[in-house]
Amino acid sequence: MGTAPFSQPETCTPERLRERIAEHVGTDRVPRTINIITDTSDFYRIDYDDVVVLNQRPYLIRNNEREGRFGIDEQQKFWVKRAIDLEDGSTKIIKLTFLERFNANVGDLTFECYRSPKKEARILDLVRGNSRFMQGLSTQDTSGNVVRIIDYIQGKTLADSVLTMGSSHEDYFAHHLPSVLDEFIDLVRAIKLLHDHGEIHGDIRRDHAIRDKRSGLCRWIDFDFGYFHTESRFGYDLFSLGNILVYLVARGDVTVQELRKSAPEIAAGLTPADVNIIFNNRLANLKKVYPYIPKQLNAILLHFAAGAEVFYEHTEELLADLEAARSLLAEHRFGGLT
Amino acid sequence: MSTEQTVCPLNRHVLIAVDGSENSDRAVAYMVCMLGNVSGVQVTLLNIISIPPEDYFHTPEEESKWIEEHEHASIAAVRRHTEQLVAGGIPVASIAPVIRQGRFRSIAETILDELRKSGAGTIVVGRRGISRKEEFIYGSTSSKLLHAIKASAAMWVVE
Repeated sequence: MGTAPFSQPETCTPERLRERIAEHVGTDRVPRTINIITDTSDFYRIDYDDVVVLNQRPYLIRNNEREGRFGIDEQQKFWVKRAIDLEDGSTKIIKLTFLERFNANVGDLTFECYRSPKKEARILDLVRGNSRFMQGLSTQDTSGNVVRIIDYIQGKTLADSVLTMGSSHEDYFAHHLPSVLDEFIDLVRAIKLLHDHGEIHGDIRRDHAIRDKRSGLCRWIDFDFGYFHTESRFGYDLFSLGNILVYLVARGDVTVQELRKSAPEIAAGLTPADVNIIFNNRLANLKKVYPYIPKQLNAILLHFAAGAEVFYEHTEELLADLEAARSLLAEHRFGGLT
Repeated sequence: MSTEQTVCPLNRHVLIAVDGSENSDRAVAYMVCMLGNVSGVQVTLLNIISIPPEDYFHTPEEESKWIEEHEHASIAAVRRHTEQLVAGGIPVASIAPVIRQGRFRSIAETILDELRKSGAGTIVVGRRGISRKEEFIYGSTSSKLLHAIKASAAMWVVE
């Protein structure tokens, strides 16, 4: 992690900054007075048009980022700012130090989580150059706060991108799922890399994998969460990967409530063992709805069902099963599934 | 499945892993019930302080305070369980309290490590019934021990 004591560089004088701002956002958008910030401790006071100087490089602050998981009730994340790098004009996400510990509720389970800028900084170093992770660097401001400067990723989330694939689930399954699964397998390999280095992602969610418009590949984002489960270090990461897998195979959530309305005969045949082990309204045993899902693939999904006899403890176990199921899926497809 | 068999240990050395909880109380009570007043019984009373990752703490001072608090709790737990054992007829000279403190990959592995060091032939642990989902997310020390212990020792799981 790089650190740099602040000294007012020539490139960060108000005159020079005005020139840079004009160059990147237009002369009419140059603020009358420029508020230069080098200590980011009070991130609530860092506002639109301020210039944060980190590692002698100026960033023009735009808006606060928002937690946009479901598109409703979006909360501003005051410690996460979108900014323009005034050296090269690129868009960055500046993540300022916000330390917190809180109880996360997952279904009816509650466990303690923490947010750690140092953890994210470490992982950014670990995954530098890896196309499956967001990219960026970390530095310290003049007060020693660990700040992460992240390359902005333009694109849809993995979850959103599958929703429009295929004219029906059967069509999606036959023509799109193999490539979606390839991508997911690669994303699991990326998480394995973290686990192999003793790190966890900590906040694997379907909206934390974004398809980068430039590369066309999905990248994991946001690694600053941690949890502390000594006897199942990777359990929550694996559970979260399972949730994404079920979502991808189903092309969305299949809920028991929806099934009761749309397919009451299938809903009547469900047992308590068929639903997600924690989110009991979501179906995990998808074969009951989509009988053409091969047994091997469905068997993976059942590891995340309430009736699971065994769980995945390590990513390599999940990967091995996924790779085997994927190869059979290809045979299935070319063997004239539909 | 292992083809080795657990042999009856020549010593009557039992390792009890305790954390000061009611589960530990039950485990110690069970052990006393089975082996109290039996001659030649040796007990290693193990308590583990599993320190969270460095990332968890906001400052080094906070970490020091956390460790200090847990050390006090650990000493109190070991003292209380020792009293339980003595009251049940195990001589105090036969009880070896061990407190291990560190950033451990797994509590179960740490217990097994201590088992090897102590030379005990039996592990006793208390367990609260946890759901399958809790086991998935949090893990279970007793389940992990049961899978890993094989023929190296016998194990009593007290629920």
